[in-house]
Amino acid sequence: MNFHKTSLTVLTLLFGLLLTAPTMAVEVGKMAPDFTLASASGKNLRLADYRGKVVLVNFWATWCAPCRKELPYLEALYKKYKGKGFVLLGVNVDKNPDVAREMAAEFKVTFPVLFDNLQKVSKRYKLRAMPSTVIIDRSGKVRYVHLGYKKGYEKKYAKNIRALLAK
Amino acid sequence: MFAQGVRRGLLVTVLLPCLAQAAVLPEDRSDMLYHYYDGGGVRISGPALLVRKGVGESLSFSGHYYVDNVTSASIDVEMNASEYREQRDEVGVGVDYLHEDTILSFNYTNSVENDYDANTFAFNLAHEFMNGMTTLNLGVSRGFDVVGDSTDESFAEDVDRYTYHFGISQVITPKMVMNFDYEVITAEGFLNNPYRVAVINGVPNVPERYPDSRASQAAAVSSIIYLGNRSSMRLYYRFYSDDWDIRAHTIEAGYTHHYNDDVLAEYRLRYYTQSDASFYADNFPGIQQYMARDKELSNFYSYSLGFKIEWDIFRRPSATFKAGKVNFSYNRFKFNYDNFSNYVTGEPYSFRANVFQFYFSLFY
Amino acid sequence: MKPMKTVRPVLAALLLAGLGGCATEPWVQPYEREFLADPVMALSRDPVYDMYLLHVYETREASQGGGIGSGGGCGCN
Repeated sequence: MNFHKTSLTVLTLLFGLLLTAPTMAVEVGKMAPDFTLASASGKNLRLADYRGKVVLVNFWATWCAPCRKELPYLEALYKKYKGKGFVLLGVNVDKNPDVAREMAAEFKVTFPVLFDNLQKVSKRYKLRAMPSTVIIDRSGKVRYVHLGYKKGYEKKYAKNIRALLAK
Repeated sequence: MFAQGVRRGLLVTVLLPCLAQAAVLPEDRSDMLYHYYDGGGVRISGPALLVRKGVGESLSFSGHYYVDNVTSASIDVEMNASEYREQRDEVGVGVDYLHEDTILSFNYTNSVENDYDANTFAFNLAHEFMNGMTTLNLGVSRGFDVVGDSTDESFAEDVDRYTYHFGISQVITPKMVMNFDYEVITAEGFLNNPYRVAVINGVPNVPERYPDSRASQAAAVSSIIYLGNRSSMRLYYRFYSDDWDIRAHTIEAGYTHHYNDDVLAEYRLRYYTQSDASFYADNFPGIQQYMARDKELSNFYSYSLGFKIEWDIFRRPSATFKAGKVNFSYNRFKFNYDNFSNYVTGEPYSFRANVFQFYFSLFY
Repeated sequence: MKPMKTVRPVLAALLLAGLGGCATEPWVQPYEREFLADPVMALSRDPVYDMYLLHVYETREASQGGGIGSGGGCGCN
């Protein structure tokens, strides 16, 4: 009898955990931490160089299934808005940049792919999920943060980007 | 009772500001397998098929079909009967539902032979916390079996089975995961084999008599450690005990590594030992309330050594069919019985077995 | 029943561990899970294979259970 009661308590407790909310990565409203990373094009790219444009920084990894699902949508967003003052930086966190290069080619990605293979930038951005998307306004401030990827998130990113491009 | 449990659970929950990260459903895949077992005068082979497909973002459906074609001239059969052939068919369906960090799973399995029918309903809850570092598994299952006798049409007895499972999977370091599993299993009803007989004073005499209930517990701990260079080591230990007085230990050690980009190899060693049931005897001095002569309940140990090769034949993460692989495995078993004898020779029985598996996996 | 008596304190202990876990910061970050995501670290790469081997053991041994449930490690989503 008591065994069943305990089991039910545990089960309900776990259901209740569904009500809790995730905490943010880097703080919204604050300046996005600057970084310089090697990129797939061979050049080093610096975040601060994109001041004046709306920047979407997406942290991804080849070993993360939702990250892979998201790549085609990010490519579509980049193609659509890049002429309007928008740039998308795909920061890869794989330990081996070559694996990331291969996957980016496989998905025919044209946005800049940066290599955070020592995970220093990930740490600075206090990433709480893979993937993580940070959307930065023209003045360099973090405006929107999205943790993880689920179908439909690309619509949210588009909405955020349009809102920031309008300012 | 129900309300109390729910109230208590909700109260504790409100006080927890936990980090919540979403879990992921198992991958979509299909596997087609051919299995072959040969040992102790028994040959069992057959196909198995497993299909899994996600629907939308929250559901994943799975199904399996499995066949055992048995040709048995085992030591028990030799004593009592002549070689027999039979077929066992198993079908299963399941659904997994994902909500944030929790996956609820429901599975139904039906297994049919000419003299045994088993139906199992299982429910499992998997919940991730601490950013996916900890996974908690809670499972409950209920089985309804009907035991038949191919020599007696009218014979039909029931077996009721209950299983409760609790498990925790914990990431310890970026290179190490540990698991703890605890299970309680109870069975009630006609628990022996209607064909087997007990030997009394050297003569196969009376049908076995088992208690009509059995309560078991199993506790297992294991760990997987990344050794660098895309290789890992796995260690597993399980302790089993039940109220028939059986105690068993299982130890497994495995090594897995990527031979190259496309080939993965796994080597496994397993050692198993158990003590006999309180009512087991190879040769009873007289009729007793409970009598078993099933070698499965005797004092024995076994060890096995095996390897497995998985070969990625293609990998295209952006295509519809994402990957395909071909797999082959071989396991060699040796069973050594302490107090079960070969009825013909009178010597303690032992046998070796070869187990092969060959299968294709497709990911989409 | 004997098994039931042992289960209650085990459940309670693990429940407390779970609660404690909620208040602690995860010490392996999501971006540090690369090794854990490698197939060599998976609890079960091919369920069809594991299910069959489990069947081979269970039909010849008195022991049951202690099977491993699903595990974490990826930290994705």
